[in-house]
Amino acid sequence: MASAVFAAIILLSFVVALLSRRNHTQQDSRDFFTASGQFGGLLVFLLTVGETYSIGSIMGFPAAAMHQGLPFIDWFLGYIVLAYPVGYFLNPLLWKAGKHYGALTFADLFRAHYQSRFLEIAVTLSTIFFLLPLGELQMAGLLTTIEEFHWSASPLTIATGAALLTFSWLALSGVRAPAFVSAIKDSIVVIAIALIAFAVLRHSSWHDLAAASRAMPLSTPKGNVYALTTILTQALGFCVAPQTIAFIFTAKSARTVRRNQIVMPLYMLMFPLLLLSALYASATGLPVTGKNSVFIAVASALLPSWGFGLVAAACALSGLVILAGICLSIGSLVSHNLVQGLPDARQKSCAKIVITLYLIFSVYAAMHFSILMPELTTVYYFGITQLFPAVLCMVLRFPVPADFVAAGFLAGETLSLLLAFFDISTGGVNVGFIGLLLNAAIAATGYVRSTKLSRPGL
Amino acid sequence: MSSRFRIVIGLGLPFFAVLAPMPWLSSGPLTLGGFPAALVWLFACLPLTSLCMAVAWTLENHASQDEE
Repeated sequence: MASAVFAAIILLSFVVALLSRRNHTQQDSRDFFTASGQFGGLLVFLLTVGETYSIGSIMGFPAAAMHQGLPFIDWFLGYIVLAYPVGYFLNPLLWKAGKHYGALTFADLFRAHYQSRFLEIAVTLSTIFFLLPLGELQMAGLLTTIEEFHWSASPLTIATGAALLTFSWLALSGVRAPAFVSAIKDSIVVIAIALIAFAVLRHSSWHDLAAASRAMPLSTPKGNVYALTTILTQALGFCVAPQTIAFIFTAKSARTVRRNQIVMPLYMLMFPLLLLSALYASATGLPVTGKNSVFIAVASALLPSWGFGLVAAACALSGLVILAGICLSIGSLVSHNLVQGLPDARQKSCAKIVITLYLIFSVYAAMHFSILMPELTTVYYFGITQLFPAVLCMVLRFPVPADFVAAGFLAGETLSLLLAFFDISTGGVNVGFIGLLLNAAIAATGYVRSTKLSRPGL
Repeated sequence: MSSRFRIVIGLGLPFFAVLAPMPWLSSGPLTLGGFPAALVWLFACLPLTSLCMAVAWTLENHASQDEE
């Protein structure tokens, strides 16, 4: 029964992707990547909020909360909820900049605003580098979910099937497919989380759950420094993530973008319910096999067969929708920014080739590497966040020369990577935050220098 | 209403609410309803953040905006 429900929902996602193609069978590259900026509030909301309930959140949050306790919950929820007010002010400005420059990707903004091909290539390459592990993250989560079905199919077959489904969505109608599939995904995610929360409350007492929450590790002074600096770093990074900016460009107006931000924190009210699964596993000593399997193990233990199928489908769709968004970002960055001068029709073909290669890479990586999901998210953010000073200078029209912007974000990324790679002690300070400070200092120097040069008499 | 005031309400207040009590609440044994106070407060910050942005939105002069 579980397998039948799972298969039916996955099939439904394909049908919805097919329907999203209606009236848009002849897509140019702008429609393929940004739906020609025609999406209303609901579709933009579903696309942008999708990051909140990725497979990394649904499976990684309860698992890491169980293992690491309050220090993890602090930074994980803290950065997501604070990213929304940042986006409330920043995203409409980004939408306006995109419209002003006729941008298709976020790298277009850098080329057009800073008049620098070097900067365009630099941000494109570094963004692709930091986006690479995210596909593996989705695949690894998907495999953990499917493992619970105990199918005879090998992990390679399952990952390949997932890659084919993602590719078929995108080939059918570009960004329209994940937007429409998000509507099913989000409905099922809400139902799945509510189902598990209800089952946990039925099978466990409030007293036991509270006791399990009190048993979670408390934070230390070093843990607090890490939480605060990670929240600041990732809240800013969340808003300048390439796929988020691409989704902002699909909106009809800046007003739609801003209004959506108000509702997004309320959408996070599912996290307390997600946490219940971790508390239940701790309270009952439920055996959990994989690092990220708490949520799915609790679903398997408490829900009827059909309920488990629904939960597994919710997890799988969460991973695949995010994977589709990353594929579109990388595809557009390569076909539009890295390779220049391609005619419109060939940009789409080139993007599809890049998407295929990226999916193959993600399947391969998922077969060979597996680390705790939120750790991978942290690595991603300390790279992506380095775009923030450049984006801020752009939307606020601060006169910072392109070479200072490029030097800032390259120095920030390099410093963060070196500190992380050599495991240099920072007293708990997030390495991305240290990179961001250096980056901002270089941008500020460029601003001061440029302001002085434009006022030679002073 | 000045844009600075809207930024204080819509951005400053949520950042202060989440970050300021965090080191104190997360390191101590304080509980509310049996659950760690840090958890309860963080979850309370979710609707609070929406409320702050909603207030900033109502303070905005939408008629004069060049948004559409």
